[in-house]
Order: sequence, then structure tokens, then C-alpha cells
Amino acid sequence: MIEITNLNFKYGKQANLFDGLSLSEKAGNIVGLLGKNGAGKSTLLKLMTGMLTAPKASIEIMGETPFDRLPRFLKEVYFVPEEYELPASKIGEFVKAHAHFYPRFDSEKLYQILIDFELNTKNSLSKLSYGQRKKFMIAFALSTNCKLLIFDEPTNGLDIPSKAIFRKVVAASLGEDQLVVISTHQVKDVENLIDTLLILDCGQIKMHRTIWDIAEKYAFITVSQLSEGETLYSEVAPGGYKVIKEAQAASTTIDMELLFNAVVNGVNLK
Amino acid sequence: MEFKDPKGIFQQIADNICDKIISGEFPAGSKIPSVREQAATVGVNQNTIMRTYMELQRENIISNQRGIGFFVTDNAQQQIINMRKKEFFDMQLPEFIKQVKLLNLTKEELKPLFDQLNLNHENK
Amino acid sequence: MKPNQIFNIKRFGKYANCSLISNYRQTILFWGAIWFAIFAFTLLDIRNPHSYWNHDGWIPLFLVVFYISGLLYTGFAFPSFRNKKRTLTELMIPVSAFERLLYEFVEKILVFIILYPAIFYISSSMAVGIRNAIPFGAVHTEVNGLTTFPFETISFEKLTANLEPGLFVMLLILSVLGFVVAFAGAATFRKLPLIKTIVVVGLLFLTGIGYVYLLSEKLKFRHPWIELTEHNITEQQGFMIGTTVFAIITLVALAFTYFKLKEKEAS
Repeated sequence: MIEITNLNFKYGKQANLFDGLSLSEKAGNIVGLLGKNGAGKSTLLKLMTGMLTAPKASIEIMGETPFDRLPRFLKEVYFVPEEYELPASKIGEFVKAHAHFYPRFDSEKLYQILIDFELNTKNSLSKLSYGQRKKFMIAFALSTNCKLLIFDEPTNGLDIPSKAIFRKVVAASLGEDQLVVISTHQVKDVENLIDTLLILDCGQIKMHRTIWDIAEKYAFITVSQLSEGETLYSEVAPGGYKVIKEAQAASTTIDMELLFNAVVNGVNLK
Repeated sequence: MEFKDPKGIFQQIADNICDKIISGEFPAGSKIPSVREQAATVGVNQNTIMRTYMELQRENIISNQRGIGFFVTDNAQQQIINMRKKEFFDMQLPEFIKQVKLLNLTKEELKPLFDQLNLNHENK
Repeated sequence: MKPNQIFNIKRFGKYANCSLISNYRQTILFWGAIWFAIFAFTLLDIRNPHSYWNHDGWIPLFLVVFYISGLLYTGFAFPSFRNKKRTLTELMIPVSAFERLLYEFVEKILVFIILYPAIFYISSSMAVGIRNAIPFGAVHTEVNGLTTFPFETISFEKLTANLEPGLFVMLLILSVLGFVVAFAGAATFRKLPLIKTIVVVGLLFLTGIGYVYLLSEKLKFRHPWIELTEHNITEQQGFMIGTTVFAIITLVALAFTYFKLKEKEAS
């Protein structure tokens, strides 16, 4: 569904943000995109949705060049950016204005999610708080049933119950022909929701693996003392050390923060 | 020493299903929640749940009827009990013995525990 | 590319509906302001019973409000582009750049040109009616043999009566051109589009004038073709040439706007 080859990109005269980045992603997955501040997560998402252009790179999404912004491409993509502003209309008006662009729009699903999120269609979008607007955008995006759904920091600003609702709704609504990309710093919010981990660092994709692959190969444990040799990466923790080791028998919970730090610190996890 | 670390998400889901099979909530032959239902209930990726179901199927605890769903097999309960016994003898018991030795526990100290165990067994 | 990725009437309808729902508040506000401005300026104009309102005195008001409000309206076309974050929301709408352009052109220029005279007629007639009802003692006033009071409602026949049809068409196209240029500016600049457009167009215009001045006055550049046309065309032909030139510049400005929309980025 996503095919990016040899992407170079920079803003104006700044240093290269992406240096020959390549990425291929299939439908049916929920991908977690992690990266430090300024690593270019949002830029990558904007390139995928055709909001920005990188003239020399080959970016193909569902067989289309995003920047052409053809209607048949746009009606299959929904992007919820980290920050956005909506017209000063009521929720109901926004839905009336935008829903019919999306051929598989599911109003029942929308109203159900809005109820779960405690939003009312009579609410005015301009009067909602940041978190409430985010909830609305998430609800709307999921109801479009677009093939490519992109969320930039979706759980940012969500209250605690809403985060669980977000996970449940996303987990339940993914179809085999859909791809969800979630860019986030809040890995705890999405660790069981995603099935593919994508780590962006220094203009490159530094890790691109499924979580079962990671769970099979590595164990994430806490030890009181470090023993030489078997530790791939370690960090000081209240109970001693958090370490990544080669997996033995039973799989452990993947500590994504630990894994992320290992990857951006250049640990070679093959 | 290593601390007790939480089990991986696959294990957590599998254990949850197995617990419900042993407790009789999912009797032999009954249909367990579909991948989508399970995803919606716990907010976990469908592919992760599917992987777990495949693993349970490989262990003959559930079986897949194409297009209908996953069903608890007839000998699922026995299968799970066997697996858990193996886990108990292979993993938990050695850990227990290790601790007994480490703390120099005597027969007398442990006696009330074994008495209680016997009692429970007779009650059954 | 299949043609329906450029224009599809159904999708255009959806987009029109979407834009109307999203922006109707501002549109109503705008027309309300125009209505009020016409009403207030009409009353101001006819406060004195000796006003020449009945004798084409309303035409300057009509034209001034037409151009100012028209430029303001078109100069702030593409309202989403005033704001980076709304630009993204707007660009994600599954509609082609051509449809977006056509919609704004219809709403901000065609509808404006058609609706404005009607609003002017209604609003000024209301002002006239109110003024006539409170005559300050004057019942019938004549100035130089012309009846100035009671005031009459306007008649658009007078607007065209004194104009050659060719000149009228040329001025109409020139108005459209002015609006389209403001419109192109609205698609190009994010902040203060109208002011920036006026500055840019002003500079272009001055440069053009400067060149003509340099060529004809300082360098005494006289091409026989210029001499020939200067003396041998009729007034009607002049209007035709003017209309054609303005129409071509209008189309160029529209094409420019189209490419601006197509290449628009939301960073």
C-alpha cells in the first residue's frame, strides 16, 4: 500500500531531513511510527498524504502519487494531524459537509464513537477543547473507513478513559484492506494496538519489524545486576537495570521505550 | 536474580482464554469470541489476537471452522491442565525449591502449607 | 488521468455543499455588511432634499461599493488558506484543484456580480422609502428644473443607457479581471493577501507604464504598426481590443490561480 523509495527531503536550506529513506508497508496492519522530536515523523506523514512534495522521490500510495491529490486518492485517505483548526461549524454540520466524500462512510459507527467519547453533534467545533476536537477528528476518521488512516499523535490531549476507547475502536474497526499509521511519543498508549514498529532516526528507517518478530527474538526484563555478554542493551531502573536480551522460552512484554532507546543509540538488533 | 516480569501480550491473551475454558465459561464445543470481538473488548491489535488463536489452535485447545469461528476442542480442558502441570513442574516448582533452599526452610515450617493442600484435595 | 479526476459534476455539488456549510456564517456576515453599507451611504447621500440621487447621483455610490466590496470579497477567497492548519484540512478534501477553483470563481465572482445589483436595489430602495416617509417639511423639491424630492428608487437602465454596449462589456470584463487578480492573490498569499496583491500588481503596472514611457518618450520608439492602429481604429474596435486583452489577462490569472492551487503545500 505504501511504497517509498529513496526519499530525500529538506525544508529550504536546512540539512537533509530524509536521506535515501525507503519504506514499504502492506494493508491489514497498524503501524506505530516512533522517532525523536524533529526526526521528521510529521513531515513523512505529510509526504504520504500529498500535503508536501518531494519532487525526485518515488512515493506511491495505493498506486498513486500523493501530491497529484486526485480525488480518487484523497477519498481513500484520512489524515488526523497533531494540530489543526476546523471551520466554526457544529459537529453535525461538519459531518453533513464532509461525510459524503467518503464512499464507505459509516454514520452509525460515528454516532457510537461520539457517544463513547461523550460528544454531542450539537457541540460547536470552535468551542471544543483541544482533546475534544481530537476525539471528534478520530471518530470521524475511523468512520470514513478509508483505506489509509493516518494519525499524528492521536492520544495527545486525550483523557484517560478516551485512550482506552481509542484503542478499542481502532482495534475493532481495522479491515484487511486498511492500513493505519500512528505516529506517537506515547508508546504506552498504543503498545498493544500496533503490530508493526517503525523507528525513524537520522533520516532513515532504523527499525521496521512486527511485534511478534520482536517478541520472539528479544526478552525485556529487569535484573538487579548486569551480567556481561548476554545483554544487548541496558538502562538503569528503580529495581536495578532494564535490559534487552536474546529471548529464551516465554515471551515477555515488549518494552517499547527501552527498545526505542536501544535503536536510537545505535544498538544493532538484527 | 531476575524480577518477575509481566508476560508478553500473546501469553496474556492465551492465558485469559485458557482460564475461561478451565473455569467452564467456555465449555468444550463452544465458540470463543471472534478476533474482532476480542480486539474490540480488550483494545488489542487483531493480528496479535489472530496469532494467539493460531498458537492455541496449534496446541489443540481451539479449532477453526472456516467462516464460522474458533471453537473449544473436546479435550481442551485436559490439554490446558497438562500444559499448566508441565509449566508448574518445569518452571514454578524449581523456582519454589530454589527459594526453599535459599531461605533454609525446614519441614516443620512448610508442614502447615502441605496440610492445607491435603485438606483441600480431600474436600474435593 | 481520467477526465472525472478533473471535473465531476456530482463531486462538484458535494464540494459546493461542503463549502457552503463550512462558510455560510462568514458569507451571511459579508452580505449583511454590504447591505448595511449601501443602506447607510444611501441615507447619507439623500439626507438633503437637493441631492442629485434621482439624476444618476446613485451611480458613483453603486460603483465605489461594488469595487471595494468585490475586491474585499474576492481578495479573501479560499478562506481556509488564511491559516496553515485549516489549509491542511481543506487540501485533504477529495476534490480536484479545478473544482476548487471553479467553485470559488462562481461563488466569489459570478454570484457576487449577479447578486450585488439586487442587494443594492433592495437596500437603497429601503433607504429611499424611509427618507421619503420623513420629508423634513419638504414635499416637492426642484433644483434647476429637475425633481430631486421625493427620491426615486434606482433604475439600472440608466446605468447602461449612457454607455456604448462595447464599452459596457469592456468595463464588465475589466471588473472581472480586477476580481480575478485579487482572487489569484488570495490563492497565493497566506497573510494579508489583498494588500500584497495590490502591491505586486501596482509594481507590475508601474513597471509596464515605465517601459512604455521609456520606449515612446525617451527613446522615441515609433513603430509603424502603433502609428497605424492609433489613427485608424474605430471606437468599437478599441473596445473590442480592450475586451480581448482584458479577457486574456483574466484567463492567464485564472490559470495562474489553478497552478497555485495544484502546487499548494500544507507544511
